[in-house]
Amino acid sequence: MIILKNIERYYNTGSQKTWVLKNINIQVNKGDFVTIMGPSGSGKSTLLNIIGMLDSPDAGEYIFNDEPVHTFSEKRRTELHKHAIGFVFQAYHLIDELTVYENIEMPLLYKGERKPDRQSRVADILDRFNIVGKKDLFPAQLSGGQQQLVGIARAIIGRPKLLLADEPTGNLHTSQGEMTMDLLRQLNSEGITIIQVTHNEKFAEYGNRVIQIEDGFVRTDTNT
Amino acid sequence: MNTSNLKLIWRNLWKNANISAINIIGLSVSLAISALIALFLNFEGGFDKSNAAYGDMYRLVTTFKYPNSPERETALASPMMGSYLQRESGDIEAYLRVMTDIENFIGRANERETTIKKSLQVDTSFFTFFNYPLLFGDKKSVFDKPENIVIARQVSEALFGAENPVGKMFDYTFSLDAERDTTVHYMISGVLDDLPKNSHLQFDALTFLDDRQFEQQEMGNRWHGVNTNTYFRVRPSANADGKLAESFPKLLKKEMPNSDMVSLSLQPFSDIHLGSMALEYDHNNFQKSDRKYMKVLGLVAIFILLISSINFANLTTVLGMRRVQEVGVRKSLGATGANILGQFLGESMLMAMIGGGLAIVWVELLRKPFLSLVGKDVDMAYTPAMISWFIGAVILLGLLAGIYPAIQAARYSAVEAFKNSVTSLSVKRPFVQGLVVLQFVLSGMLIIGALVSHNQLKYMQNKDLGFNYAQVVEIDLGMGNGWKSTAIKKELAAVPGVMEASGSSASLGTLDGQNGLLVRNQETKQFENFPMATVRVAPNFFRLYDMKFVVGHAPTEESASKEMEFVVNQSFLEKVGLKGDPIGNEIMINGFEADKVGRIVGVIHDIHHNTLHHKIEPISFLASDFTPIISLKVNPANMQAVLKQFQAVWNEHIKDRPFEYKFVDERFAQLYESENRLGQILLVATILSILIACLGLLALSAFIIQQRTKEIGIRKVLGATTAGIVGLLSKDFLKLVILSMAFASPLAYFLMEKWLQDFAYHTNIAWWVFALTVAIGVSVAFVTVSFQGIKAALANPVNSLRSE
Ligand SMILES: Nc1ncnc2c1ncn2[C@@H]1O[C@H](COP(=O)(O)OP(=O)(O)OP(=O)(O)O)[C@@H](O)[C@H]1O
Ligand SMILES: [Mg+2]
Repeated sequence: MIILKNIERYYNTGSQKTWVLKNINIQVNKGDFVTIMGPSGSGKSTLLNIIGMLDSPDAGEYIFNDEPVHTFSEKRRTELHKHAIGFVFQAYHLIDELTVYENIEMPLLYKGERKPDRQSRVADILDRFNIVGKKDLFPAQLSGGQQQLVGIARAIIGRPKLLLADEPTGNLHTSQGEMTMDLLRQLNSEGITIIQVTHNEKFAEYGNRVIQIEDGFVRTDTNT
Repeated sequence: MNTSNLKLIWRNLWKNANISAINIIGLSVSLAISALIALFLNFEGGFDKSNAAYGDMYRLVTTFKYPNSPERETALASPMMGSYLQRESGDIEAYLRVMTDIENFIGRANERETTIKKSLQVDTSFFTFFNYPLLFGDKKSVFDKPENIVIARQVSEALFGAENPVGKMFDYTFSLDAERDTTVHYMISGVLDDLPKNSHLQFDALTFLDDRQFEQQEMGNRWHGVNTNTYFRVRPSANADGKLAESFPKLLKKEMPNSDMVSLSLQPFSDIHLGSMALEYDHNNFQKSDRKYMKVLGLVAIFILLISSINFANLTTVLGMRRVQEVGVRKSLGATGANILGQFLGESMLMAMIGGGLAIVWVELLRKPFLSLVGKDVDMAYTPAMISWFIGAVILLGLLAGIYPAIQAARYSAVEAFKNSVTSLSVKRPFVQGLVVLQFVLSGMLIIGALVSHNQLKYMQNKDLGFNYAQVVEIDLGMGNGWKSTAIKKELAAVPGVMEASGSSASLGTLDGQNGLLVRNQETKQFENFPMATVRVAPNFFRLYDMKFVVGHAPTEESASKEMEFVVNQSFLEKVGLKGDPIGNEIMINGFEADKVGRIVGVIHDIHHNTLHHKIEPISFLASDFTPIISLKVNPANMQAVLKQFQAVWNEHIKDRPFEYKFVDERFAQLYESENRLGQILLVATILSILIACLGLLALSAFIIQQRTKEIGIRKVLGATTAGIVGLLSKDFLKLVILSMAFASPLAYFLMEKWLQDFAYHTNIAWWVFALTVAIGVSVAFVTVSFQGIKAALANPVNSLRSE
C-alpha cells in the first residue's frame, strides 16, 4: 500500500542543511498496524506527516496504492485527505466552536455528502462509540479520553484506508490510553491500515510491527 | 457557504464577543459618520441639478477690470447683457434675469400679515426657464399686468390658508420720505409650489422685472452698472468646451463703451452653490457653501472610514491568526485552500454586514445632531445610488479586512499551521505594524488639523480689529427707511441706558462694494477715478466705535446734511498717493450729485472693516443723514428693558419690516461661522478617530499580552517588577505611535499651511501643536495598552504557568 524509497527531509539552517530524515526505505502493507518509535526529535512526526501528505519529502519517492505521491498536485492530495487518509492527533485538535456532532460531521461536509447521508453516518458512529448523549456538547465539556474518542470518530467517518495517529495517547491517563488503543486495534481488525507514533512500550505491542527511528534513520524494523 | 460554516462563524463572533463588539461598533459608527457626510455632500453637490437641462445652464459672471482698482468678480451683470448676447450670439437659447426686489418686509392681505424674507423681480421667462409648477394661476399670464405678484406656497398659506388667492390684493406699506408712508397694491396672479431645497434661488415672492427702471440711467452706466443675476440656457453642448464666453468680447465691442474694462464668463449652473465664494454681490445664492469645506468634510469621512477599516482588518487578522491550528486540522481533513479562504472571508463579511446594518440605525439616531453640527437643514434622502454605494462599501470593507488573514491561512500548509499555533502573532508582524502606524498617522493628522483650526479661530476672534464693538446693538431699518434714520436715532438715543447712538449705510465687518471716487491729485490738480467702497456714516460713528485718528477729526454734525466731509483710512492715502497734507483734499463721487465737491477732514488708522479673510483695503466714509443701520452703544445692565423700548420706538415708525436687532459682537462671531463649524466637526472627528483607534489598540494589545502570559509569569518568577513588565509590553506600541506622529507631523503641516493661506491674516503653526499631538497620541496609547499590561503584570504567575 505504501512504499517509501530513499526519502529525505532536511531544513536549511543558516547555510547548512540539517537532515531530519535520511535514506528512509519503508514498505507498509494493507492491514498493517505499524508503530513508529524513537527518541524525541528523531523525526517520527516528520515521517508521519510525509506519509499523511501534509508535508513533502525533499528527495525520494513515495508510492501510495501504486501511484507516485511526490508528483501529485495539491488538489490530488486534498482528494486523498478526503477519501483515503484519517488523522488522529496527540492534542485532539477538535474545533472548539463546534459540537461533538459537528466536529465528526466536518469531513463529510468537505466530501460534499448530502445531509441525510451525513446524518445517518454520524449517528452510526456516535452509536458505535457510545457517545450519543454527548453529541451536543462542546469539546471543552469533555474529558481528554472522550475528546480523543471524538477525534478518532472524526478520523474514520470518511472511511479512510489509512489511519495516522501521532502520539494519540500522549495526553491521556493509562486507562483512557488503553481504551483508545483497544479502539485502534478493533479498527485495524476491520481492515484499516494504521500507523501510530508512541513513546509507550506497552502501547507499541498493540501493533504487528515496530519501526525504530534514530537521527532520521530507520534503526530497526521488527514484526511482533 | 453551508449552514455549519455560518454557525461556526457566529459562534466564533460570540466567543470573542468583546472583540467582535469593539470591531462592529467601531465599524458601524464610522460607517454611519461617513454615510452621514456622504449624504450631506450628496445634497450639497446636487444643488440645482433638479433642472433637467442644468448641463446647458449658466450664470453670467462679470469681472471688473477698472484701472486703479483690483479685479473684482461679481455674480451680477448689466441688465443689458441678457437680451443683447442672446441676439448677437447664436448659441444662447434663452436668458433669465433676476434682481432682488425687497428683503424682509411685511406683506398684508386678507386682513392678515406675514413677513416676506425675499422678493425677486424676474423676467417672464422664469416660468419657461425653470419647470417649477404653479399651484394656482396660469404661467402664461402671471405677469400680464405690472402690478401682478406671484407668491410662494407658504406665504399663500399664511395669508389665505388653503384658499385660492389668485385675484386677491396684496399690500405693502413703506416710507416715501421722512414724513410720509405709501402703500403699494399688488394683485396676486399665481402661487408657486415649494422649490427643491437644493435650489440656489429661494424666495417668497416674484414680481415682473420692468426694464423701464433702468432707462433713467445714461447709456454708459446701463452697460457698466451691474444689477441683475443673468442666467443663460445655451444650445445643447454649445459650451461643452467652456469657450463660449470667449466670443463675448467681440460682440460687446460693437455697442458697449469701454467694453474691455469688464470681462464676462459663464459659471455652470450646478457650480453656483459651491463655487461662488470669490464672487461679490452674490446675494441670491441661498446658503451657499464653500467647496473647500466639502473637501475637508470628505477627507474627514475618508480618514474615519480608513481608521476603522484598519481596526477591522487588524482585529480580523488577530482573530484569524489565533486559529491557524484549526486551519491545520481542517486541511488534514480535506479542506482546500478555497474552503479556508471562503470561511475567513465569510467571517469578515458577516461582521461587515452586521456593522453595516447597525450603521443605518446610527445614521437615523445621529441625523439630527449631525445636521445641527453642520448647521443646515437639508434633505438627506437615501437615493438608490447612495444605497448601492453603501452596500458596495460594506462588501468591500468585509473583503479588504478579511483578505489578508484569509490568504495567509489558506496558504499555510497543515504542518506549518500546527507549528505556528503557539507563536503565531506578535506586534512585530509587519502587516499589523503597518496598519497600526497608518491608523495613528491619520489620527495624528486629525489632531493637528483640529488644533491648528482651533488656533486660527481663536486668533480671528481675539484679534484687535482696530475698533471697539463691545456692547453695541445694531438695528437695521432697511434701505427704504433710510431717510427716517435721523429722527428714529434721536428717539433711540433718548432711551435710558443708551450711551451713544450712531448710524451707517452698511455694517462693519462686511463693508465691500465700490463706487467711483474722484480724488484730486495733489500735483496735477486733476480729479482721478478710484473705484472703492464708500460708506455713509453719522459723524459720531468713529467715536462710538472708538476709532483712532491719525490726523484731522470726525466730520462735524452739520456736515451730515450740508457739506460732503470724508474720513478715509491710511490705505486710502497710499492707494491714491496723497503724500502731502491730506486734510482738505477734494473728493467727488462719480455720478452722484456730480457738481458737489467734498473734502477729507480726517484720516483714521487702518481697521479691519472686513473679515480677516481679506486684506485691509482703502475705504472712505462720508458723513450723511442716510444711515439706515443704527448702532447703539448700550449699558449692559437692564438689556431686556432697553430692547423693549427699542421695539416700541420701531413699531411707532416702521410699518414695512419686523423688528430685529443684533449684538455686534455676536455678529462678528458669526462672520467666522463656517470656520467655527469646521472646527467643531474636526474636533468630533478627532475624538472619534482616537477612540476608534484606541479600541483597536485595546483589542490588539489584549491579544498579544494574552499570548505572552507565560513569558510574563516566568519573568515575574525571576523577579521582574510590575512597572518593568508594563514597560516591556507597552514599548513596542509606543514606538509605533511615535513613528506615526513623526509621519503625521509634516503631512499635516503641509496641508494646514495651505489651508491657512486662505486667510489674509492667520496664525503660524506653533511647535507646541506637534508636541501636544505627540503627547496626546503617546499618552492615549500608553493608557490603553498599559490598562491590559497592568492586569497581566499583576496576575499571579503560578496561575499563568500552570495553565500552559
Ligand atoms: N522548521 C524547522 N526547521 C529546522 N528544524 C526543524 C524544523 N521543524 C522540525 N525540525 C527538526 O526536525 C527534527 C524532527 O522533528 P519531529 O517533530 O519529527 O521529531 P519527533 O520525532 O516527532 O519528536 P517528538 O518525539 O518530540 O515529537 C527535530 O530535531 C526538529 O528540531
Ligand atoms: Mg512528534
